[in-house]
Amino acid sequence: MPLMAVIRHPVFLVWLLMFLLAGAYTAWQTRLVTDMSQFLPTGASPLQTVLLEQVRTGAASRLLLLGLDGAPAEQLAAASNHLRGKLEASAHFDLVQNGVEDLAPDAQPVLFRYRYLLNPAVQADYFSVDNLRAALQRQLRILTSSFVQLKQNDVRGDPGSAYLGYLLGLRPQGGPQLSHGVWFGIDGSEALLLARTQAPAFSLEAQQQVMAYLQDLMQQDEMLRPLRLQISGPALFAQQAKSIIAGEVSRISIVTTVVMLLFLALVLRNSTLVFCSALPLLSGILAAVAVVTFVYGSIHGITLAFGVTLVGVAVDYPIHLFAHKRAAESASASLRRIWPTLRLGLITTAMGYLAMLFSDFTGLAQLGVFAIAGLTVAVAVTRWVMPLLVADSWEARWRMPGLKQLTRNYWPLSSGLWLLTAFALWYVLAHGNIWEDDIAALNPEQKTQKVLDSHLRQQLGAPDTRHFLLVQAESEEALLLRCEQLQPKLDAMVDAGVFSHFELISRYLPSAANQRQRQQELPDARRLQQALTEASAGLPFKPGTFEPFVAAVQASRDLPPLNLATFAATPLGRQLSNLVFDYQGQWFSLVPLTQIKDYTALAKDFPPLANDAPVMLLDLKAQSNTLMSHYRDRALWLFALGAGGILLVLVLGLRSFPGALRVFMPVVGSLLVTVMVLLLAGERLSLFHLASLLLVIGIGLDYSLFFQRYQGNAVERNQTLWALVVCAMTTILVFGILAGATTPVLHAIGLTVCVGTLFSFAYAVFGAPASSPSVHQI
Amino acid sequence: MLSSLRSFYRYGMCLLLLPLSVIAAEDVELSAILAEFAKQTEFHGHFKEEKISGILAQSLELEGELSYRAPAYLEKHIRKPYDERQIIDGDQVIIENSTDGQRRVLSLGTVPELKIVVDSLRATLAGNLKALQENYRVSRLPEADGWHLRLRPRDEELGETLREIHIQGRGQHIGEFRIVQTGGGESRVVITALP
Repeated sequence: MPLMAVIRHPVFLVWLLMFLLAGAYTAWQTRLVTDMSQFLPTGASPLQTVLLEQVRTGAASRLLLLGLDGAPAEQLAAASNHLRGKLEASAHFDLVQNGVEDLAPDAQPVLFRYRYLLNPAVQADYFSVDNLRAALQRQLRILTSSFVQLKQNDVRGDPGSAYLGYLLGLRPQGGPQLSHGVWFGIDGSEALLLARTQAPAFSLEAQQQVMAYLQDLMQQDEMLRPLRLQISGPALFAQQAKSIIAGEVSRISIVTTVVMLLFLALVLRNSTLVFCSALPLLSGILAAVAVVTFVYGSIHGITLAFGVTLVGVAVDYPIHLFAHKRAAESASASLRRIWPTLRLGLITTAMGYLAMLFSDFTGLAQLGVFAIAGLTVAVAVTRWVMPLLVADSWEARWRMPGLKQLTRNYWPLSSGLWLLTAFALWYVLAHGNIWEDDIAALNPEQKTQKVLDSHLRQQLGAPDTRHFLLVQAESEEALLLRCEQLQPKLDAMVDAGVFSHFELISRYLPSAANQRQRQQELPDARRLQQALTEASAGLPFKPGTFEPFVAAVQASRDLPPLNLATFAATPLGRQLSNLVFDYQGQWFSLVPLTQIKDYTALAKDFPPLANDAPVMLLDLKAQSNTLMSHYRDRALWLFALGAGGILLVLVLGLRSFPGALRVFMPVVGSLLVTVMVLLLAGERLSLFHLASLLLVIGIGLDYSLFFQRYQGNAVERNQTLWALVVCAMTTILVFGILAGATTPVLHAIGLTVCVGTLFSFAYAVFGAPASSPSVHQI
Repeated sequence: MLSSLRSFYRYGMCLLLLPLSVIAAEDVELSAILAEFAKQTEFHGHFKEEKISGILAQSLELEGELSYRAPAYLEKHIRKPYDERQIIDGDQVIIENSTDGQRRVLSLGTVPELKIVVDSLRATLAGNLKALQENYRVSRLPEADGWHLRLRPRDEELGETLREIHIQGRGQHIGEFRIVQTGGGESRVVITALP
């Protein structure tokens, strides 16, 4: 058809209009989401929900470890303070620490007011004459020897330094050393800081902004520019993995596009057709994005990546058309001949994805919608738009010599393939664990970054990001009491070297019962005054100096115990905001552990993941792996459901059970052998392999259907074979390049599809030799 | 030492090229006084300190020895009424009390109030007027015999604790170091050089 006629053709106009509308709609409306929560199930138990929340937004996952070097210590210390000021002023962080502590009472007035209820040293004999006298003598000594006298009000209100004792008692023992007032690494060449991001670790975009902010700051700030900033943290790992993958994806897409275009040009020898063969795929992807956006309001990055892979089978549709086109036959006429097969291929493949729509994971359901919408539109474009673009006179000229040989019945080859299938079935079943349970194994290697992380983590004494203790109780008070009971045990474990430090909320905030008990021990004003007079006899303090102390103790007797809500509002409380949370009436507290050296001892005392244990050991990594396996199992189940659907559609479509089996069995065979080959190659199956196997099913069904369709004469048979060979070669070329990727995820997809296509072809052609044409006239 | 001398000369040369204002004249005098210190790389002396505190009915008295080694080593060895050595070397503060056998090491930077006082002393001893003027408004008070410097902190927050520091002496010798606190406390250290 001449170009002008094509452009004026109503079908073309409708397609163009739809294409532009979908393009405009997605451009305006589509939001790409990278939040992993859509791919996680909504947890069933409160415990699971809490864990999920911790995996995703926990304080430890948001912590960045910073190391500043490249200048003399004094300059680094100044830069560390400067950097802290900058980070605190920015909206990106909710906590920044560099070792500088404000120990003055006016920094935290609430805690100062509660000092006699918070400090564990405040016991019955704290106010004895002897003890008071010792405290006064100590103050006198400090007064005598210090260069500068402390603010006198602090001494007068707190001669025993209960407030300072409380704060200093909370300091970790193995913390980083202080030099020039800030944290430094062991060799003194590196100033250390901790910064907690506002944004959760899973929000890769937000984390990217944080990194960009830090980079800009280091480049533009006068004081920081000459220095080097090293950063580590879980959020950074995730973000770097993403950018490594993105980099490789864009490199590979360029290479595969070029290779595919060259290959098609070689085969089709017609530039218009090479261009046209991309139309169904592009239209399909665009439509799929638009539909998913319309249904869900946004599209997940993973849906898009997997979805495009699944819809990739659409490249084959125009090739089928080109292959079956005869000279002097309009493309519509050729299409009418292969249409039943194409249609059945679409319906069966869609059937495989239909089950996904009912998944309770939004991510899986989205993927199902994407694949079905994309494939349907791609087939429709092939059926109604493509004929307009292919000239009537065009005929595929490239014939493969020896193709005919393939169409003969090689019974030894066929039997061999089915023997191989039986062996693959046995091998897969006997293989034991075929699943990759460690999702981290799918991320790109980040060796140098991991070395840096453990270096900074060790120097800073930052808590383990993977293991925690979880304490649970039915109320806030019960939780604090339980934590208090736990403390002696944890102290003993530190002494025994199981880990070096722990963070326990009750050390900061004692239970109300404990606070009340301390209140009972506080003397009344008259008694305290008496003891004080006795204690200060012979010391040079002016009379009345410690009136504020007497008044403060008196006031402490009537204070309501400090509760969690009030504590959380103090600067210290804000640092610990993630240690305690309640969920559906149940209270939880996390106990971060630092430098775990003896995991077995830890696991022996605290049962890992025992749901009803008051204190249990959490392994967040194992936990998130469990969640992923759960997701995979669900996907697998839907897979099986989809397979049943496919068989049903085949039986209905072909109106023959043996005919349906003849199409279905090669797909099953190629799947089994593909899985076996993957296992033999040392792969363990992950979600990414599963998604790729879905594509292999789609490809296998198409091959099988085309090969099994009524094939009239030898010419027709040859055309089908030719189509399958070209399709298979295109797919193997593209995914073969992907299989060469270093990123495990890309490698997994590439290898699976490559091997799968090869065997789909082999099984379609040799596995089930075509029987007499009369059986499946479809 | 050499570098601070060199910077002093450069500073002096610049001033010769400018019309001498009153302030500049005072700066020259200050520089001249401080330049005397810069020649001194080591000092060893006896001190007697008297402390007055708002919360004490009587003043405290202590004595001992003071040592300085350029550029950053300061030692205060208290002999009476107890024995305690306070060493400040760079950023490190070491306090050794032989009476109770305790030894504490801390970072000067963690005690900002102490740091700024120590810095003032070090800057004076090193003859570094510029460093001194960064933290203090420095002025010279009339003194019949020798010289008298007064340092007032520029930082308002520090001003809440520390009102001023007075340093008096003759030639390159510091005779008295006096810290006046805002709350009414005062500490007066009288120094006599030992051979």
